[in-house]
Amino acid sequence: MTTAIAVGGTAPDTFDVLGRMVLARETLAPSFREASAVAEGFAPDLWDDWCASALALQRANAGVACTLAFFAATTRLGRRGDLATPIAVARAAQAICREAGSRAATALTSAAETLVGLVGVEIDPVLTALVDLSQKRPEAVEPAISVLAQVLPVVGSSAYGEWLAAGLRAYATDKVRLIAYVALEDPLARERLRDHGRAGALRRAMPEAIGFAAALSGEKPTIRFAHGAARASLAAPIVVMPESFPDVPAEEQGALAAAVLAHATAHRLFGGAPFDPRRLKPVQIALTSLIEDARVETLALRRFPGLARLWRPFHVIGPDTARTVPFLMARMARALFDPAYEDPEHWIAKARALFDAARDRLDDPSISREIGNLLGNDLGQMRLSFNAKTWVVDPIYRDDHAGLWTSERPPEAEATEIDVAVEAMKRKEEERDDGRPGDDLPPETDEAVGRARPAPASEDDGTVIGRLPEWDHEAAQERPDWVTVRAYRPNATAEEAVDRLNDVVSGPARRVEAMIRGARLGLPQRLKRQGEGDMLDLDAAIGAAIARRVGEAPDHRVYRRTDRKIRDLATLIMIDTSESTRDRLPGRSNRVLDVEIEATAVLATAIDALGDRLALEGFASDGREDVRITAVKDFADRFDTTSKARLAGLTPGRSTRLGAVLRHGGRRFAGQRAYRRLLVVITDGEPFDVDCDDPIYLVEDARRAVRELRSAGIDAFGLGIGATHTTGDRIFGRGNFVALARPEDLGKALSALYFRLASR
Amino acid sequence: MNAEHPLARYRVEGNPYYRATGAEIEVFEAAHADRIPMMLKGPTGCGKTRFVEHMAHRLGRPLITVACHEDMTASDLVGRFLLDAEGTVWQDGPLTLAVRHGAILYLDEIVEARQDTTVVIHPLTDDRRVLPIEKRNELIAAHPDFHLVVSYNPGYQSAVKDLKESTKQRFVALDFDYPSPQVESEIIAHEAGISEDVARLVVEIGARSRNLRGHGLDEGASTRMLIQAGRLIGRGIPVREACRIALVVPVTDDVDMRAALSRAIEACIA
Ligand SMILES: Nc1ncnc2c1ncn2[C@@H]1O[C@H](COP(=O)(O)OP(=O)(O)OP(=O)(O)O)[C@@H](O)[C@H]1O
Ligand SMILES: [Mg+2]
Repeated sequence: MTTAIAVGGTAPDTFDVLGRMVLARETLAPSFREASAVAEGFAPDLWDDWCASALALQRANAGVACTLAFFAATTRLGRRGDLATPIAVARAAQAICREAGSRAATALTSAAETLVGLVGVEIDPVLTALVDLSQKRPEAVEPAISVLAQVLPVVGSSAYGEWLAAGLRAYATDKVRLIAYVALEDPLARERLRDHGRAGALRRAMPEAIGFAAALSGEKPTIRFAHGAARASLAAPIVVMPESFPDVPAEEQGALAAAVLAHATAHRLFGGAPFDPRRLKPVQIALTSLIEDARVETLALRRFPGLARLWRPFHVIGPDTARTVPFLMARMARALFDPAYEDPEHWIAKARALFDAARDRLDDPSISREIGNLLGNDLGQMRLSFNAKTWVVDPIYRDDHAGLWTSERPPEAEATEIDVAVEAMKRKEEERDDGRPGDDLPPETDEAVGRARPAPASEDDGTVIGRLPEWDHEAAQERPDWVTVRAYRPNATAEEAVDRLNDVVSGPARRVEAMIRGARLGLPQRLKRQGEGDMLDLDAAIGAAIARRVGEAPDHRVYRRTDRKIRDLATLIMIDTSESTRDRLPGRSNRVLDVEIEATAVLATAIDALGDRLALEGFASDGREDVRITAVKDFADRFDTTSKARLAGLTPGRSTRLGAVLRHGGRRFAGQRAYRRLLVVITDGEPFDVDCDDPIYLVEDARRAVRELRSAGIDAFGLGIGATHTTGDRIFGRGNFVALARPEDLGKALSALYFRLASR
Repeated sequence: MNAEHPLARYRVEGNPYYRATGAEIEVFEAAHADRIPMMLKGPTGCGKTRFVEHMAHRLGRPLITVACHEDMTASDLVGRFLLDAEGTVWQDGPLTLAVRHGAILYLDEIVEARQDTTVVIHPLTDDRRVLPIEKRNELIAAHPDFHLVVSYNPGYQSAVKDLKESTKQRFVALDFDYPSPQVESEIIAHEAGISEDVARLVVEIGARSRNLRGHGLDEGASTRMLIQAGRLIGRGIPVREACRIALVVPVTDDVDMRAALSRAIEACIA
């Protein structure tokens, strides 16, 4: 062992063993020295982890090539400040080595740098998927790694597992074809890859498109994805999107997403009450819908003329198409949209004439029915048949019309006649909140439909730690001792969970720490009237001079100095662990709760390094007798492995009784003598509890609780993840609640909030 | 008033253009008649400052404006001793100046000042109407024309930076908000020197940005920003570009938000 290494190591045992194993082999020694010198420069935790993972790799007999590749990756990535990746790769390589042998493991350690280039920090899902593959089809691992550079840019790291899983499902018993699949040599693999590409492009485009729609209408649409849908479907305020539009190339999915939401917005702004489909033929339903589309779009264009440029490229039909109903309908849609479009068909000219005649009363939705019926009769006389079952709306950015009709079941005899509407309704039932195809759902999600599910039998009943009042807004009085608060034992979590948390968190935490620390140093405070200092405080000096002249005893504190601002701040973060936090993020494998946990961990790590006071608790509720608090970290505790394990071990379940949580939080500040006391609640939904059917009740109670806190000098802030939060502003007060459309933004928002408060 | 008068340079020259959006002028006049302290609440750039200037001119009162900030001390408002050849001389701060000689004192963004600074206005804003100057051991009774006006932007920071309840309760308050599209177009046409048609387009575009408040933007475009966009257009910058540099780039760095806002602007342009 070299002395340089012996001095700095914080994991002497692991390191000694590792050193003995490695240095015994001449081929490894130089690159080991180089790699360990780099790794040692990192924080002690990371250095320990690195030694442990290197040792584990040795013990798994991964072979010289694998180890060399690992050391090389450590050196190169480590010099760029990234030790987490080599550690994660070594762990995965060790697992893969066990199942698939050292060649596969070597392929992985050799690919470490490439992987970082492909997916950046989001490497874990890929590693997990590969380890999983090694357990199911060890032979497939090496070929899979060899094409990562083609696959990952398209599917992205979070959906990589999904793409592999599709192959495993299709070729469960056919080893040869599965290997062809993972190596991209199978047509199905390429097909699925294209799907992912388009779906990924569409998903990536959604935040922009949603913001665009919100800018147009002032209301943010809620998006769900439906597997296998051909067109969007409206169920205000929800827009159900297809996972992707199959015939549209990936690079156009973004414009299409915007066009779809602009069209949905036109319905939202200018649409009327739903039409009644009874006694209408399918063709009339379709035509009425198309006229309604034209009506709302025309109105929208009067206000937003630029939308014409967005929609026009999707009107691709021409007059030279066959004289069948679907083509005629698409041509009519184009004719009503695009004044420059020419079409020799008499029926189209008539549609135009009817629509033009109605232009000065377009505000009236009933014109859609009128014109639709007339045109439908004409088509009947033209003896053209229409099959509502196979028809899909064109242009592609239009919704499927389901949202335009009442869903009342028509009399039996006419059941088939509104297939258009019904079909679409059915499709909506398939929608999934997480937007993933139904067959890929992890089994637990199926049980999670209800918001509050029964507790596992083995769980403790919690220790009663207090009773709290609640505010009954209807009676306008407080119900004393109405709510029982119980403390629950934190779950024990496996060490790996803590390791993972550390990995995910360390990078961002350092940035946040630097940011807050910088704020403290960057905003110096002028301290006046000091007993000593490097400058004279003019006011004080003059005061002293005057005092002396009039014969009074002067105050000798006549200096001023500049000092770092001292943050005197105690913060309590309360984390919503209600059932809905079990939901997965669209297209991702992590749950809302995971996002909460990671964001909190980032801030807690940063704050811990700065020495500010921070307490963390999880909350849920199961009726007023059981408001459930899980302590994670007290103000005085360090954010150490124990608190991290508790944080990582928070589990979703039950409901959200916000007022009680806020009051409980307020009490936690007792004894915290800080200049500013800050209570932050991270929640993913509206207040809700199993024993409250009046939705206003808990909102008003929470609102009152916030006011109580304020008068006690505690600032309460709310951060709302996902979904639309309609009551956050009301509860916390405008400006003290931030709704985060994208859960991923929570970390940023939480840290920014603390930063803003801490730097005041 | 002759040029030697200590408030001479605080006279409001010209007649600052102000387009009333409601009964604020009458309300202000009524409050001024009784010198009731007045608080103007509203988002940034919606015309609060302009309104006070206009009112000061209309009422023929000098106007002293102080932009409040965190490091402001009571001495910055009240005054301090300075050294000169003869020894120390007292110099009135803006507050004392207004109190002594009778002016409208406008404390802009009063929440920015620390609470221990703002308390100096307390004795002035109740029945006493006096200003004690401890350093000089002096008690000034306010000039009959002294009138205190403050502005306040109830934004993100409200819970952390807020006025003391005892400060708040001394004021009557006017809520300011962005004017109706018609009125705002007039204002923009006037201030930016562009046609009302173009001004209306700018207002329509501004509405898109305001719709994103709370959906990705902390604040929507203020009247001030829209005027700036209008001015660029007036100088020949194409509408898209003018809106991008005046309304999009300054307010957000988020790629998706920028793209969303740009698309919405595009939708407004014929
Ligand atoms: N009602 C109005 N009449 C005339 N001009 C107006 C009006 N409202 C806004 N403006 C214009 O908007 C600009 C910004 O307004 P002003 O500076 O008064 O905003 P403010 O509310 O004081 O903002 P801040 O809180 O940022 O100081 C003014 O310079 C003026 O050109
Ligand atoms: Mg102003």
